Amino acid sequence: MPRRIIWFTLAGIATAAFLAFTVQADTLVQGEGLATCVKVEGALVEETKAGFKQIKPGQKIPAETLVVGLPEADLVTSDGKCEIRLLVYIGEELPVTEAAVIFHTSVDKVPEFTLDRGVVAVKNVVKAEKGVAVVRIRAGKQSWEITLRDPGSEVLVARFGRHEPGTKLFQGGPKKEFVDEPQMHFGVLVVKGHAVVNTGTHTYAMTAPPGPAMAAWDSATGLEIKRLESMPEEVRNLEPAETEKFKEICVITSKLASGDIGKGIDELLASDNVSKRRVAVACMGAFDDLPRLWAAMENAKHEDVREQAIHTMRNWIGRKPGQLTKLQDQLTKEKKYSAVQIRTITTLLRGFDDTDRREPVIYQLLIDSLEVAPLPIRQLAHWHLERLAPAGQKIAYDAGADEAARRRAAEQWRQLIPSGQLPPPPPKKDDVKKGK
Amino acid sequence: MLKRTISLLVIALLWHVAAGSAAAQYYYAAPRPAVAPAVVAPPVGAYPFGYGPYGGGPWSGAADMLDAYGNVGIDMEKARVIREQANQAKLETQKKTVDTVAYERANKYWYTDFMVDVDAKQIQFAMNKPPMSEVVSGRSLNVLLPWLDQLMSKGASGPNIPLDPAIVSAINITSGSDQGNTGVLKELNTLDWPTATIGPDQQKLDSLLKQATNEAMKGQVPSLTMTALDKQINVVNDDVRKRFQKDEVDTTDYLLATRFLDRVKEASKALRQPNVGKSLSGQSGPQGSTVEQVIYSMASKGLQFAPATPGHESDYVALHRAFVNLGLAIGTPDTGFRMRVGTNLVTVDPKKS
Repeated sequence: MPRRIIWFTLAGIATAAFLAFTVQADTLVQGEGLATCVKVEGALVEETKAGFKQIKPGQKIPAETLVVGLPEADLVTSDGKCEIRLLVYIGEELPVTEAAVIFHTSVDKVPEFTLDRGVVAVKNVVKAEKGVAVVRIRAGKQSWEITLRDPGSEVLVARFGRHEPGTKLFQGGPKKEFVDEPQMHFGVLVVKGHAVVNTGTHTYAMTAPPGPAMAAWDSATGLEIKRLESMPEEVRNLEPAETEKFKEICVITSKLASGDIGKGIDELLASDNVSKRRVAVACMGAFDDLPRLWAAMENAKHEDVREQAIHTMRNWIGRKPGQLTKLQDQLTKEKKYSAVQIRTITTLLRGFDDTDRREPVIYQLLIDSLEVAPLPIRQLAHWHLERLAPAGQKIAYDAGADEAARRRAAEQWRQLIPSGQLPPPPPKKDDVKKGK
Repeated sequence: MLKRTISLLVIALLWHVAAGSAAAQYYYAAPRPAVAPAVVAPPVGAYPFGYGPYGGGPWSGAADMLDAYGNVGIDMEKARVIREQANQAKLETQKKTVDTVAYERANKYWYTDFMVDVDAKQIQFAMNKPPMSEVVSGRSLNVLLPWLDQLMSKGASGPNIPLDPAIVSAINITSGSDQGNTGVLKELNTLDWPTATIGPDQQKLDSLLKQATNEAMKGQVPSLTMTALDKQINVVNDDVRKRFQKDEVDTTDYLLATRFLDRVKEASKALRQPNVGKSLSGQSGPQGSTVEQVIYSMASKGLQFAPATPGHESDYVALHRAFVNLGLAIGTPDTGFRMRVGTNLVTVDPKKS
């Protein structure tokens, strides 16, 4: 069974020397396919003027076109040396779900693409005993050339962004909710063999663990090369239950991409199946369907839809600068929310940092929001409370319930977290088993 | 002869009984059989006894008895030796016990060792670019203060690092127990009330604060004033909360207002203290124009740093930097952390010197 890599974290990045770096790769006029779709698990779609269109195995990928994996697809570069696999990330650690790439024509015929978001695996598939495969990957202003030295060498490449959490104002600067510059992260993890990473200013010889296996860059702290003694735990094969779930997702997205996507999403959302509803919401983010995504946040009927919408929305606003502004414009245009409420929504989507978490007032703010705020704000407040105060997860609360039920739940939260105090520690696993 | 033999035997038996509890230690010599066995070649290693054409006889028995008598004496001596060895072994055990306890004491990681290490790590953390929140909350400064004071009291001295009087006056202090923070009270005339608090209730609170502060400068603040002040703080707090629930105030403004009112509550606590007047007039606060003077003035009065007033974070950062510079100049904690200042290493050739 081919190894699936579904989980990849670049979260453990220490501060490194800051490197200011810009490399621009020349791009020629759009040409023919720069890669070919070899295999699709679920659906692979390309963005056209008429909307998203399905790509089938055997089809060539055109240049300068956004291609999104739903959830996974295998592509081979035009020189036949590299296999690029668009992967799906399922989890809450990284602010990303699907992978999306844009291929470019390059002057020196080295395969080149932009990783718009997500996690991709790049593998050297040269058939000769000794064969080097080179690929150039762009991520914003970063452009790294990766040389996979031996056949079979493989790397994971990830790109994602997240808005800086926290509510403290910048010193002398604007309020945080008006700042639309997420912190961007880009990195390479060698999972097999050897690779040489050329960032434009420096070249690093890297190898799969144990050894210098990870090169990570972020907009706040710059580049760091990290030595790993072993592969991160998250990089692993699927468990049997996860495989079944994955197959279910593939079936859903395959059907979705083959017809009218908008209509298909609405049908999935109306389904009684939780998985279908969650996939529908994730696809809204993948297809940049902001009106539908926000409507999912307001879904009064299904809490799982609202939960998934929060997760997808937080990833969506961090995708690149300007996303938050688009959301604020959309909400202003809908005229359902006041300027105050839009700022509150923005703050809650950003989240809270460690300094905030040590302040009792944050918890009182969230508990107060459970009762009277609009539905998306209530849901966001509850989403944060469950994560900041896990001891309260046993309190049943539905943001879509009637006012009396919400008030009762809010009172239980107030008893759990009295005014001026921090939440109690979460129950230990043994205590949970004992029914405490 | 027989009587003498019997007497000797009785004496031997009596001696045997008198030896008491050491009987078990006696080597039990198998007695010779009264009847000599048949004359056969004894098996290899067997005790050769009763050899002879006649196999025993009265003289043989007497000889055996004398032999036994002699053996008893020898065995008793042997037993004494063994007993002495046992006593020596007891002493050896006692000695080893003492050695083990001493070893454990020398090598065990005691709680005090743990606390010393924790303190050293905290100092290292405070010295090496701690997060801004640690500095402006006063925590880093409170870690460095006793350490620097200790170094100074041991005679270490560093360069005269001057401090801007504005920085010294911006320092908020506390005596360590929950006695509030006077930060807000120092800027009553220029207080920047958050937007979410502005209103008639806030204006009343502002004037109550000024009234209480003036009364504190003259002596004790009357309890009526304090009661009115605390009540008004709660009124404004509730007002801000209601405005947030009605969506008149966004999250950031709500938090700004609540944090500000928390500082006002801390100021109210401080106003209840008997010597708050001295603190407000600067008499009991930190004094001095150099870092060492400030450290001494605070340590000698048992003062600690309270969180910075918003807007004065840079003063705390500057003070922290001054503390770090002094610490680098006069000593480093024994945490294994060493900082090389300069790389001019000069080697001397012993032949040429």
